Amino acid sequence: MSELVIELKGDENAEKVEEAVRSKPSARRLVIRIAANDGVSSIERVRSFLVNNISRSVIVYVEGERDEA
Amino acid sequence: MKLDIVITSDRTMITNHHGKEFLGFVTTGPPVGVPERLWMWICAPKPKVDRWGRPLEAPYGLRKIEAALVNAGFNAAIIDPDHLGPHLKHAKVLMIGHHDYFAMASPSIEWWLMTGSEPVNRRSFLRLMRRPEIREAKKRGLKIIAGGPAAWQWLWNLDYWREFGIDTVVDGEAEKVVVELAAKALNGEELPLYVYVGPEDVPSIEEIPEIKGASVNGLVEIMRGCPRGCKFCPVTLRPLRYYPLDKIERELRVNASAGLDRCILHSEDVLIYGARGLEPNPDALLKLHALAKKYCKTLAWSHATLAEVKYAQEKYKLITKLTELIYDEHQQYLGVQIGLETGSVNLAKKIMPAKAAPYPIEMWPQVVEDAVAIMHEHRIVPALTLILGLPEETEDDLAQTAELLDRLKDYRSLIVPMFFVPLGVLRDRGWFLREHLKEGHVEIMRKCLWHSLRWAEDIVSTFYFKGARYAPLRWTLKLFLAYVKRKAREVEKWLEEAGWEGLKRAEVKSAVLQPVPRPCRT
Repeated sequence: MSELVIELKGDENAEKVEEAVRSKPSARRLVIRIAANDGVSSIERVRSFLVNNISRSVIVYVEGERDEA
Repeated sequence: MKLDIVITSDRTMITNHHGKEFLGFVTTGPPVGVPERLWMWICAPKPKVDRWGRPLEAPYGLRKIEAALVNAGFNAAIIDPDHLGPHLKHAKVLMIGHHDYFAMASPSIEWWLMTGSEPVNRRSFLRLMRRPEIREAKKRGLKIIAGGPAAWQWLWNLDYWREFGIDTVVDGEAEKVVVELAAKALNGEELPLYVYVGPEDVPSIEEIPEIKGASVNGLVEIMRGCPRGCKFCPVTLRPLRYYPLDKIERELRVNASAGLDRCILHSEDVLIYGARGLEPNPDALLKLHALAKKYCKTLAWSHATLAEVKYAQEKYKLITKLTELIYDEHQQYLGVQIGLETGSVNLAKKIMPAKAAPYPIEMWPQVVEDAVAIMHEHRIVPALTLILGLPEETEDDLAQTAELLDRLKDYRSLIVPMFFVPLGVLRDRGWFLREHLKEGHVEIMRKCLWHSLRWAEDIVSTFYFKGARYAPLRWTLKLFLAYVKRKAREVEKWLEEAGWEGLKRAEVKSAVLQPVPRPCRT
């Protein structure tokens, strides 16, 4: 299966993911690596993509500490 | 017994609803007119458990996860929420699943929005996750993985995601991916924060494990996916797969060996089991039902579609043949949940163009009425669901739905209006909230309420709670129905005096005018 790895740095967000997918529309599995120290909150950066995605498998990793309560 | 992986959920899920699946719907509401404890007793009694706290019956989805893990060699089991303490002292992973973690799905969301009071499923889940035994285990390094059909709700509840220390959320059919995640969690490897299982990663029929313990009310899956392609439905995004009869039989046997003599055949549309496209396969259906009756005194369908009911009966007399096979001294009626969605042809064309197939979508209202009439004649009791607030809905659409409801009033059924929840292809659309309600919606809700109250009394007395065993429950529900009628008359009086818009403006202290809650926390 065609996999696409996308790394988000700084303040990069769902737009970068969408761009990457446009550049490789055949990808059926996306691995998104978010460099962040805000743990779960970083989901907000890609939420609009995750909410709209229906056709591809997506795996999101957050690199950095998890911000558990 | 020392488990590495504990699978659980809250009380509204780990229960058999007194053996009456339909009572499960009551867990989606707030406790209205009665104390919460009594409400929970009505809809979510504690199940029987063994000496280790493993429930005799557990949700089918959790049973699948349990089976996948056990087949892969993990030491895992489903544990009742009241028996977690001893297990969490040793377990390294806690897996949780839910139909509706935060009461964001229908019908929870509209009960919440209308009454201003949190439904018990949400309350119960939040209570579970705040239990000291989970918090303490989390501090010791417990990994928590959340999944199930409501996994999408975590995306809108990041505060809770953080508060409960959820390590991974898995959205989609998880039987394959959960094995990989479990291995990572036990080996201390990096876990993803979120996993969405796309169509190409779902398990094939051969890869779907068979349950190892009994499921709630004997539910067994007969297929996955649906070919109708309705835009509001997430199931239609999954590939269509039929279980072969021998696979179904093995699961029926698991339930029977646990002493269950009832079953629910689960499918988005039972009548297309083994179908070629949408053409019913009478032979496959008759064999399926004969098989189920071999193991169960009573059976129910989880879902069917109105078009298939009409077509199967008109072309093959299949509803007659199936009910003749099902009904005997143990069973005189059949329950099923069916999506009516809308009475508007225009709206149906936009959001569910194949819903009436093989009939043209222009015939949708007639398909609905004919199918409901067929079910009435065959003592099939449908819980019909409508969707209010669909994208592009107009006043005219609402008027057509109201008109269709008038045509259905003499047919035994429950009709439940649900607010649009953005799922399926419409995941990116806006939520329908109480402030979006118009007179047309209120009129539909009023019609649904009186229709359902009228028929609920009939169903409770005639079919659902027969016998001395159910007398306390029968009387409690009758009292509750009387209470709802009284409250409904009060609200109707206000509506007659002020109209919906006037009522919204007025500062009348009533259930329908409580502050509008927001289902999402971010």
